[in-house]
Amino acid sequence: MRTRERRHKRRLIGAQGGGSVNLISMMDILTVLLLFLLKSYVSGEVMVPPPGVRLPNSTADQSPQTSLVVAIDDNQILLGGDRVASIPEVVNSPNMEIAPLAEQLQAASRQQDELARRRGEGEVKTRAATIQGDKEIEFRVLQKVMYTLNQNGYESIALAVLQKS
Amino acid sequence: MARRSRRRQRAKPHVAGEIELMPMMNVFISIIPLLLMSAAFVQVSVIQASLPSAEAVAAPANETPLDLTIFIRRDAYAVQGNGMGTLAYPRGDAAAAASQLSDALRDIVAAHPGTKEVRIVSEPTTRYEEIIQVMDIARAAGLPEAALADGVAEAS
Repeated sequence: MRTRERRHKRRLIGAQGGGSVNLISMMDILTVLLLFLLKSYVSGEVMVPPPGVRLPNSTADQSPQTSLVVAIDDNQILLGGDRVASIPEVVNSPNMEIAPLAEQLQAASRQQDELARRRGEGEVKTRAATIQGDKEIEFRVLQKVMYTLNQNGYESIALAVLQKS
Repeated sequence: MARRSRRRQRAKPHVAGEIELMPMMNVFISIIPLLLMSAAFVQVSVIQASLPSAEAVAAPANETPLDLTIFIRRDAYAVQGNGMGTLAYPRGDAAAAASQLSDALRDIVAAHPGTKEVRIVSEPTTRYEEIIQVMDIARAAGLPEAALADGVAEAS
């Protein structure tokens, strides 16, 4: 009795267009895809530029290293995701060094030193930084940022770009 | 009524049957496009750049055998080096200028084997994208070590 009822119900659902499709194999595919995407997302997260920053295209194929990230967009400079200075300020300043950025960089360096000391690695020798610049920014801004990085001990500077396919 | 009887049936421990997959499917279907959009196609790479340091800008022009410099001006690319004149490529047609610059750099590299360095001198308002483009051209021509500098000290 009950089975007949169920069969009837199933037929009803089938008539509506749903039916009982075997979803398990599809779920398998989706699970694998999801894990793969999550993994690539997590490993590449350091280099995902913040919203508002459109990286220029380039034929460069060097893969990015984990390092301090300075992002420059149309109206502000971000250090590790925090806003440190605005573009008009930087452009109008007569100094080559960007003072608020320099301050934050020194704080970051101290933090790196502290971490290295706790790990027992000794002094940090080369500090690396990556600049994620919007493609529309002007050279004078980029130059000041690079100068500030250099003055504060960040000697290995990489420019992040989107890889042309 | 029908739903309640079904639920009661599922509550029985020995029924292994259908798992409710729809919520999971819903989650997957919303997460996967999101991840696909944000991660899979964004291939970020980096270019190592040297710095517009004070010493580099102030360095005497004849210290290196061939002090190759590319000027990015608003209207033209100019290539300059020791022992060669200034070559200018008007930028009216961007693609043509880029290919002319590329050919010129290749010729220079062929004529001076061992040259790896190039200085790229930009105007203060030169767009970042243009600099990257010139760096690409230089790299493709066999000059991987590009140093960025500004035009103030380079007035020729």
